Amino acid sequence: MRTGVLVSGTAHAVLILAALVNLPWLRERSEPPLAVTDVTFITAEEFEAAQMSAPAPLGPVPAPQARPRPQPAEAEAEREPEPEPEPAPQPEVAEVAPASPPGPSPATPTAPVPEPPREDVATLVTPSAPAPDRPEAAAPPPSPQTLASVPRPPSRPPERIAALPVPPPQEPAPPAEEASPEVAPDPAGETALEEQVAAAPEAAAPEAPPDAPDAPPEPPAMAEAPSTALDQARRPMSRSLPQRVAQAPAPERQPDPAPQPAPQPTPPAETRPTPPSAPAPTPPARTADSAPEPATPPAASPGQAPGASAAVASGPPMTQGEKDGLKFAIQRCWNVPAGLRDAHELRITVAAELDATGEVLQGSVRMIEPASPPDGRYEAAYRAARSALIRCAPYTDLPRDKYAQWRQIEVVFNPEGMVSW
Amino acid sequence: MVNTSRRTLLAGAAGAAAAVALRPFAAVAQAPLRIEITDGVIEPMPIAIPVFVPDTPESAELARSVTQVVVQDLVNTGLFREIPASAHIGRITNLDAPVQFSDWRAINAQALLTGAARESGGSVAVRFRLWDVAAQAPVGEGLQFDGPRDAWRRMGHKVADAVYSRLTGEGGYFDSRVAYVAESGPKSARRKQLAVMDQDGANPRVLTDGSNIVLAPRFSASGQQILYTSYQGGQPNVVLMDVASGSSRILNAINGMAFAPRFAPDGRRAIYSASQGSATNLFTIDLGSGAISQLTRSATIDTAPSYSPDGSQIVFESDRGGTQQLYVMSAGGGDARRISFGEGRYATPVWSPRGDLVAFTKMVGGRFHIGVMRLDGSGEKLLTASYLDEGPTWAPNGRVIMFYRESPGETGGPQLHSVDVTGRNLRQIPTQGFASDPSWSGLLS
Amino acid sequence: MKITTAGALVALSLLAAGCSGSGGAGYGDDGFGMGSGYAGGDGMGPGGGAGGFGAGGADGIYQSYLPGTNISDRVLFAVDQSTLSPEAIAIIDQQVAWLRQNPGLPINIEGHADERGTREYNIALSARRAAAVRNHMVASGIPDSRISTTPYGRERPVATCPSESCWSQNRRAVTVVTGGAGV
Repeated sequence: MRTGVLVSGTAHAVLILAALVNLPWLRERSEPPLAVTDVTFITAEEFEAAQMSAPAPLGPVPAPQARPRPQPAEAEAEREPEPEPEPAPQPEVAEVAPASPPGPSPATPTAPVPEPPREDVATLVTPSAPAPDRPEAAAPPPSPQTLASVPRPPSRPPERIAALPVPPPQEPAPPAEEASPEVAPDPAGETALEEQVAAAPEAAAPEAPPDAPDAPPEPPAMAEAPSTALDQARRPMSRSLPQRVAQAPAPERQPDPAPQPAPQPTPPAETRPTPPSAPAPTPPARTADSAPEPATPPAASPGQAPGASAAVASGPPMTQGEKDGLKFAIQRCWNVPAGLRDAHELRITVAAELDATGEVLQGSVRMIEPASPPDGRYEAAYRAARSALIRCAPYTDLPRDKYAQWRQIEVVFNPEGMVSW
Repeated sequence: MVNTSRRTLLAGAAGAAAAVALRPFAAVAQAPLRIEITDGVIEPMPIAIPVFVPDTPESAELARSVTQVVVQDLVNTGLFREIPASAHIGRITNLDAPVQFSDWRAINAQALLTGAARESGGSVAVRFRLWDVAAQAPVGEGLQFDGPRDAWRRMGHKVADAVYSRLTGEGGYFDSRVAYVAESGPKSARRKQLAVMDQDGANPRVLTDGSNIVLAPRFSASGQQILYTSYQGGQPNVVLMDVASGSSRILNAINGMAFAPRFAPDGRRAIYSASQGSATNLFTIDLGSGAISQLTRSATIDTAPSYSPDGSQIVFESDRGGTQQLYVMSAGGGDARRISFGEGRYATPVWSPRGDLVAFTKMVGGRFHIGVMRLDGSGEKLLTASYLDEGPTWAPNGRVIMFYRESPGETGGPQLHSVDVTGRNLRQIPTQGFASDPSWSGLLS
Repeated sequence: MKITTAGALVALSLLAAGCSGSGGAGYGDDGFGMGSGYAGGDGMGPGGGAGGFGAGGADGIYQSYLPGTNISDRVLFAVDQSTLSPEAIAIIDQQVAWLRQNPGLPINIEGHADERGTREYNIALSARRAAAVRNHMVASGIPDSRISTTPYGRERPVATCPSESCWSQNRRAVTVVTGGAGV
């Protein structure tokens, strides 16, 4: 008896220990087919490799620390000649007005000619301004500031989306990765993804202001012929995860185009033969989910189905409560400009992309309505809205399993009811 | 193996089925999630303004003073809240170094203003950069101002104007002056003197000696001339003064009893009212040629005229309908259209520099109010109330109004106040003694 | 008891009667006289120095007269009005009679207003009040050239308490002799 207890207890202890320690062989049970797993790991590694090659931001300090060094000198040089010639192109300013009103000196009522405050205005060079003029800087990040704000640990598990309840299994979803794909027969999968990827670098090229939208490439992808769920299964979406996260460090984009072409032909080939177990035409909408990912897959490159299929978990529709949760989470931080008449007409819509943890991807924030703001008040309203979105992130209450649904958000900031004027 | 493959097959089938089942949802879910925020926090924007960096040790005092001017301008609008220096984590020691945004985000600053000042010899240079802390990006370009030392406050005001307009989208108004009447003595025998000062109350300067009653000065747009009413000569007369030299001359040809003058926006004409018998009518005078033309001819009282910003129309008060009301008329005369219809009496209309509103004094129920309304009379909103609030004047950006408030009784006296056009942020403007009849210049050039 | 009460009532009413309108036009009883000691300077204020003025009647109402007379030098107006009341006309008629007896003395009629109106309109209103007095005088035969008017608006109140008893005293037109003896 005691022996039995001893053995039993030991076995239990071992099992428990193993479970705690999470030994690999235990995990394998739920792991996807070997191929997929490999892809995942490769992705992570490649991601890290790619990450290494990028100008890593030193913690929170804005990356371009090296940049400003030459700049101050330039700035000085620029400033010196500027004050004199002056007036030129200052958007802002009060140019020197020779015949300006009496200087504010109190005690000279008898002063024959009150000295006009000659003021010269110069536009300062912004040392830490985005690199648009510094393309050579390693990987052209959208902006140094943006870089600093996107410190994603490369080693973070590539899971972006929680596994969908639905399905199963063979879904390659590496546990952490989303299982969803099958459900979401990932659209078009590869081909779409390839296109996405190809488009992404182009979109990234302009590097532009952090708010440059990178959504555009999506629509074209939709046209792709959807692949089957099984195909999807083969291409874990997760791969795109880490890539997405590291989107800011554009360096990845550069390598993208290269590997791109290679894998491209492959996926389609893989796609074809797959038995259409799932209803073939996946709703194009699905593509959208996977579309954005593309940027990343390239890093993963190797033929492995770059398409990581869109396996983005979308789950059941978002409930009103979940939507309201996001709404209340954002509005806490929305600082409405008070004391400004007609503030009620400053209704704007801001689009942004969130990552799976609910953080706002800074490069993705942009004002989409009004399309062409009539005056500066809208710019100010947009800044307040953007600030609200960023400051109240991460939106951790959003359901992970519905990530596909809230990955892209459009937030209408409507002050009409708040401000009486 | 068989088990495995069957399991796989089953999984695949299940997945497919699920895919089918979820297709309709999938179609919906792919569109971006759209939500509407209709409520937020109406609060002043927290802004960090670390003391401007002195470029040389001798500039330290200047840097502190300029920072103070900027901070006061912004905070006094009621739209900004300064995060005190004691709470700052980061320090700005070099305007051109990259900003450690996490330091400023940690203290909940939404905007960061960094600046520097340099004083050398008789001249001064002030420069600044403005940052959006959450987006970690500059807001607009950095700017630098240069000028003589005496202009240092104006530079501070210009910095504040730039920050204000970038962060609110509205024009600034800090680099401007106010003409007013400095009052002293008992209410029954007030001594009144013409005076000018910066809009924040600094640099007050008196322009007349107080031996004659002076009333309601009006700045020209450039701030270089003032029109006012003076009892020199024993009668109310319209007088034009050059601020720089202090020289003045009586304008009206009519023998006395002219008052309430205002400049036309082009500065070449003036409009005023003059009494003859029991009637008071509106007149315009060409400041160059002196030619006078009569705009209204009635047996009633028409007075307190004010031009539209484009000079094509005027708004004035008249009792032609039985009580004081506001009327709009073409600047060349003709039919007048009544725009005030509420209960009570309306007076002292002033057209906003933005052209969208008229500010006025309203008397109802035994109290005086400063109010605004649209030019068609709609949207009337009263901004203040007291025993005697009167004489609104607009800030250059058309978003703030200055007026005077008289307290009752022999020892009571008028003080200047400002309020923004939504009725918020009522505050007193500091003056050395009693002050009334403010008139705001345009933005100084 | 009843008789005592009645007596008390009678006494009280007599007292009340005594308190009302003993002087002038019967204004409130909490007015107080303000010395009219303005400098004679033209622009400074009403030239009230020429006329004698009372230090205030029994109930503190400001009184003043044409020089060497007991003819009131001022008439009062209702809120926002410039029409002459019968009392005002009576006073002006007395002034006219005196002016006829003292030809050659120019006068200035100062118009005033209370502080319950805005500045510019009050100047116009006070001009109207002065004009009303002047018109009546001219209609009574006084030469137009003898009369000048100055509208002071609300700038020179004689009573500054924030109530009708003071405001009513400020709504006035004052006849001031501007030349000749007594200036």
